[in-house]
Amino acid sequence: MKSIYLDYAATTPVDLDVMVAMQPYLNQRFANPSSMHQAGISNRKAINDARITLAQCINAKPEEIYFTSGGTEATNWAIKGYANTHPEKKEIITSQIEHHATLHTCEYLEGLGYKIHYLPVDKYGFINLKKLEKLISGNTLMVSIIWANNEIGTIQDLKTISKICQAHQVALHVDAVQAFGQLTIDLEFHQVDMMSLSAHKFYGPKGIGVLYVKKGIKLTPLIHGGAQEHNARAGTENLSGIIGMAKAAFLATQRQPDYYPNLLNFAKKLYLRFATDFDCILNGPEVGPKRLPSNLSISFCNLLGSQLTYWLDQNDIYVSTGSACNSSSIEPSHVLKAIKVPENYINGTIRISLGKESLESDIPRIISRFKEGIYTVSN
Amino acid sequence: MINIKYFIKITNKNEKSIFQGKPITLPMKEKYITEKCIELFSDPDPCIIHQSYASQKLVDYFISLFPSLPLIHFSLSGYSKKLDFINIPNIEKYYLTIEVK
Repeated sequence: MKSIYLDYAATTPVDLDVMVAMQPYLNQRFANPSSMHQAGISNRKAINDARITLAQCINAKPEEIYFTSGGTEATNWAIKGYANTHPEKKEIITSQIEHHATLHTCEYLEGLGYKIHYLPVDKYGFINLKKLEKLISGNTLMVSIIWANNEIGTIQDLKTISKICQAHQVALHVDAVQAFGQLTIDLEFHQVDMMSLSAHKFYGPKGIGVLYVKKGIKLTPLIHGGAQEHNARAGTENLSGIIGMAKAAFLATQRQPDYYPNLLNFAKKLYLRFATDFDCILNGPEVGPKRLPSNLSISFCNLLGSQLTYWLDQNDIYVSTGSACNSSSIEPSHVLKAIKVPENYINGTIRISLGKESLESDIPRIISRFKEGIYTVSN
Repeated sequence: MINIKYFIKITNKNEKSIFQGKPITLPMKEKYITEKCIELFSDPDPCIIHQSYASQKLVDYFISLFPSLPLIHFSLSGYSKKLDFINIPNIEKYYLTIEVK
């Protein structure tokens, strides 16, 4: 029986049109974009055209788009690069529910003497905006916030966060890795200083991302070497990746007005079945405008998510747990701890994430598999 | 795989309990978990989540050794090699009960 993939927040398959766009750049149009011959020059143009496409997708300027190896590099660069250009400011404000790319970068800076403020969140995962405003001081280097949470789908009020940061003249970096493709991104409206994106979350290839850097914001490079990306990010460009990312971003932006309501309807129907048939709770906001439409983080009472995930895996349903690796034990993730999921539910957390190939006709099979799995792994 | 719950008891000849619990709670030797991780992930230094996945694979293997279930007070004599991954010394001297729900 065909497997049911419900792990689109982890990664998505590459769109066929994206593959077709990328293919010539793997073996025919392979020239180094820095080479000063026709083949290289035409690839330089292709990269800059991709930059224009990306910029259009988020209503930014092409010179504000820098290609990276992915979302993690983009976030590392935004935080470390901005810290290096403003050594006089030693405090960073972030939240308790950031992706590890942000948290571990902040921890690294903490080791160098920075003070990191981790904003608490409420039970739905929303940061306390008053607390944010209160924490900002003359020592604040920047604020770094995940727009749409990768585990529980909480969508932060970015416009208000941006207004607070602007009012205090503090730089704002936004991790929009999960948001792109599902939410409308208009940087003229949202006014952020830096934003991380990753292609493989929206049907593009792995190993390519973007850091948007608002004109006027200065970052030191993370990677030193050649003059690529206007001397800001060295290394021969991931040409096929860049082409693929631009194509994927274009398609995702075109698709978004239909994609969002389709996912939302699917999530509503699927969650209704879970809520009716199981002793479970939904982590994060209710299914609706404040939650990523693709995300259902569900905690089941008195069971182990890792065992249920394994059982589902052996029965062709692919989901994620809400667990994190510790050196000696499997623990609930920092996000689930931060929103204080009740003790008898927290270990039984499963993240279901929907995508464009998810089928509503699979809902009965999904529910039936969960019923069997929960029966099998529960005490 | 179907939705079946197993409960395991390992006892000595006098039916004194050596182990009882769900299959996943069977004590397993680290060496075999690492070997399974190498087989599954080509990773000799697996994280705890990968170790947990490998342990579940070993449990599946354990259950597959006994095609006729349930089992009641089944002698494990002759199973010492096959069950060497279980961290119970001299397991071949014991008896296995597998309850099926």
